[in-house]
Amino acid sequence: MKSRFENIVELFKRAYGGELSPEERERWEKLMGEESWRKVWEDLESGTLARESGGEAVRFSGAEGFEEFRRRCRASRNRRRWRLCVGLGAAAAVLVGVINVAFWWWSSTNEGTEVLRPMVAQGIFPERNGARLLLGNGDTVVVADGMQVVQGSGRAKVEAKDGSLAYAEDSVREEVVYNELMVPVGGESFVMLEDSSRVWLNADSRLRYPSRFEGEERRIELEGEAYFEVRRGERPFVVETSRGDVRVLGTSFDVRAYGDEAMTATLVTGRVRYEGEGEKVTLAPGEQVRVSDGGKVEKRRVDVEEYVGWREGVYVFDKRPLADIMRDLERWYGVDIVFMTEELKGLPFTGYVERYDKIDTFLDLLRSTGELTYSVDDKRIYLMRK
Amino acid sequence: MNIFLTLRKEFKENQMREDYLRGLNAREEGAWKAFYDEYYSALCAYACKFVGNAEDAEDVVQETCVRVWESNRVFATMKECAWYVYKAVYTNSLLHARTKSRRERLLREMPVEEVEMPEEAFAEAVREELGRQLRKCIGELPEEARKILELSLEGLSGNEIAGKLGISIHTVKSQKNRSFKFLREKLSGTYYLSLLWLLLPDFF
Repeated sequence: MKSRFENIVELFKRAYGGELSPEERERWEKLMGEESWRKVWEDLESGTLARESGGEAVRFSGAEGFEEFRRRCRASRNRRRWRLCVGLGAAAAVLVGVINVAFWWWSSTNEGTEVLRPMVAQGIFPERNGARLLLGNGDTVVVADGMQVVQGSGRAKVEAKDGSLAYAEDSVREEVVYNELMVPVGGESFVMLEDSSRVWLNADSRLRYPSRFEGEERRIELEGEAYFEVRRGERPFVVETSRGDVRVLGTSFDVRAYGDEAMTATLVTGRVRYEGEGEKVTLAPGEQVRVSDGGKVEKRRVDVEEYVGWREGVYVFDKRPLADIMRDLERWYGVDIVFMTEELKGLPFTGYVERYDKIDTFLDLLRSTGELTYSVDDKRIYLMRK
Repeated sequence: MNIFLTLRKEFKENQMREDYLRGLNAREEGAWKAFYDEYYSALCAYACKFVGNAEDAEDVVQETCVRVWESNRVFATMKECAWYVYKAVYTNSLLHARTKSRRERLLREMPVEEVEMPEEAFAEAVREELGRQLRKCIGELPEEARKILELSLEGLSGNEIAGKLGISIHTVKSQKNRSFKFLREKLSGTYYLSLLWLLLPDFF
């Protein structure tokens, strides 16, 4: 809820631009019936306000004020520490995630004191659902959040990031079997393959890989999205998707192959080749191949961060239609998005969202563009024109 | 195209504001410095109206900010934060004026939400906030346009400004008109590309 202060400041600004709607005009006329408000308006119109505030800025220096403020904070009995400021560059993204979590923790421990937070979506956080590892021997192992899969030669292990073991296949297998790592909506997971190549799986994705690479190629199957850091080797590494293969020697890249949208492969370092039905495309770093629903293949340059940021805890959008953005959110937060106004789907947005934040932060950001509003019913989110 | 540009622009600005707000909430130094740059003079001018002199006004504003910084309060939006601080400054100014004793007597807990505010004090806060935002917009003008505007606000005539800056009276007039148009559009949020237009050379 906006405060009366916000409303009136807003009303003045709109009046200054000559942009009042009939409803606003009514409120405006009422306000102007009072002497104290009329005076504010006269000062705004005549330029008095602009002149005065210019003088104030000279009289009271923000920079000097801040120095004094810092001194007083240091001397304060209620000592509280300054926090380090962290830039929001790509390299700091992981750190920011941590700090963000720390901040939410910090603010949640103060709940009930005097926090004024409009709780619209009740704080839908990503679910952090555990993934499942289907082993060739028929076993199913839950790979909880914070766990990772390490595929030894003929032997699979599930361990915590600190190295403590949660599961190990009991016998070393001679024959090659296929294991499958399935990540549900709201989850993410990691696997180190037998050749030490590393794979990060995004929500709602499935990776099928052999317990040991044999033959001419290192071949795996992907449905959904994964980021690869492939260990350089003699044999090519091939990611098979429903829309063609991505073939590499040793590089890092992202493949996004959800069945219901265009497939993309984005190269970060090294070189990769896409091989579809009759089409072959070679990518340089920063390039992407995109295969549309209709099978159209195109190569383009992209902001890599937009496609690999998820692994470091950020979603980056550059002129992305709202419907596409929302599909990612559905996968990550496990919510259903309902577009009440069809034309909203195509609205392009540019921005930067932290993945581990709750969904409200993102929805509020969207709403603050003035283009749309939303309401939440349990895990269903309705989007509509304002 | 226009709608897209503004969307994109607003989105970026909002995102910056989010980071800034988060920094304030997390007590990050950089964010508080930015807050001082933006709000300090407006808050002092506001306090001045109740305590009567600049020195006491600065003292009240500083103490208010220190209290907020020490508290666990977090804000959901920048506007909420601004309003809270205006109101806290008002409350502390009254206490300051009444007792004349220094910071010990200032409200420790600041139950600012419960403070009743007379309409005049409220209008003063709105006035201060509008002035602050207006000045921020003026700061975005290209240098020559800003100079012309400031001189004209000081009451200089078009000819005087032209003489002082060594430019034609036509330039003064057209720049002034564009600047005001920019301010109106920018402040009311209907601004699209007028800044670009403002930068175009003047052929009159």
